[in-house]
Amino acid sequence: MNRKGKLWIIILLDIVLGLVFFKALIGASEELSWVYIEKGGIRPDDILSYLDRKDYGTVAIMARSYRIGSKVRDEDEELYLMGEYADLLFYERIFAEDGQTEEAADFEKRRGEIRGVIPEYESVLDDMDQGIEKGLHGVTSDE
Amino acid sequence: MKCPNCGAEVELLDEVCPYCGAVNKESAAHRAEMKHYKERSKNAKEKACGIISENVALIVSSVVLVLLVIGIVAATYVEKNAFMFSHWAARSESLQKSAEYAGILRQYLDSGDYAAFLAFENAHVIPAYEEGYTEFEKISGMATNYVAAMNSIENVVLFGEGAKHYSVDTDISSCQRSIANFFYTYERALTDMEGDPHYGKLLDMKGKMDVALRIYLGLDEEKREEYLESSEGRQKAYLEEVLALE
Repeated sequence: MNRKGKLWIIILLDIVLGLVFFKALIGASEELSWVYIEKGGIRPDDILSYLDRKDYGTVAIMARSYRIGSKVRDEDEELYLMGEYADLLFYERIFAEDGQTEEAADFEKRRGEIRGVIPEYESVLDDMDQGIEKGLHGVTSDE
Repeated sequence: MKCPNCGAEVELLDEVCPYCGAVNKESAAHRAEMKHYKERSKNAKEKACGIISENVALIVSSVVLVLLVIGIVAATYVEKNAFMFSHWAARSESLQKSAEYAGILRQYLDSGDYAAFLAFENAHVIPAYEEGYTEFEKISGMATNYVAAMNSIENVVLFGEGAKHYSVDTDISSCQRSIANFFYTYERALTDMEGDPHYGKLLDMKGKMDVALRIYLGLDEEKREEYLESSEGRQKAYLEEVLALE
């Protein structure tokens, strides 16, 4: 094979490998940023699955890293907001009963903000509210 | 070598003696050889440069090919080990920002939000035994048990209408075990954490756990003592009865 032929083959290989490299680079950067945000490796698919099962306690636990400020992808934020809502709901009762009314009020305020951000999920949040009411198996100070 | 005319030291490549000016005949053959070799070397160099310039495009594209292969291997390795890299990066960051992060951890502790405290510690891969964080070493261990117990309660009480549980038995067992573990470690920590700057938080954790058991599991002070003193089987039976999960 002459020199020109070899050159063209290598150039073609360069183009193909260049595309493969570009794809691998994007994959690596996405994976890095994803794990960095989530740390625990909890995927939105998992949260969605538990939301479908109405297992809000698990959703709350999964979304806790979001509650303390971990950033998530914009398109996944609604799922984490619902988890944050559930987590605040659970702890709000404990704080209120424990006499930390200020913190409980903060949790309630934040829940109100979440409701404002994702009004389309009102029915899910209402279901959580009812769920926590049913979850109260003991005497509270309200009674 | 010496000059055959004046006897002074002359170099092998000197054509004439630098002292008397006599012609250095003895090294003439050597000098001719040197000239020949230099010419050959120059020709070879020119030939090599010619070959390189003719093939420069081929060489450059071959080098690019090799670099791309190395790049693909490296990028694939990073992608497959992303967790390790990000974990390492987060840990390094937490060590660099120890003063800032320790302040945030103290705020969570002061507010009694131990779940957030632990979540922050985990999210930022904070090593409680490293300098800057050592004050949290004991309370962090206790927070782990507290949050495990709270999570297990949260898991069995917070669900919607018609919820589908993956495994009720597992959830009940986990709840029973983690609550028992919390109270066991709490009793031990009462002694272990004496003099610890966050000893008060330990007592607060117990207070909040008591509240959670009371409001979510129906265990007031009297029932709680009875529950904690009962066998593992009885504890599970109680939880099954009160939670009535399907």
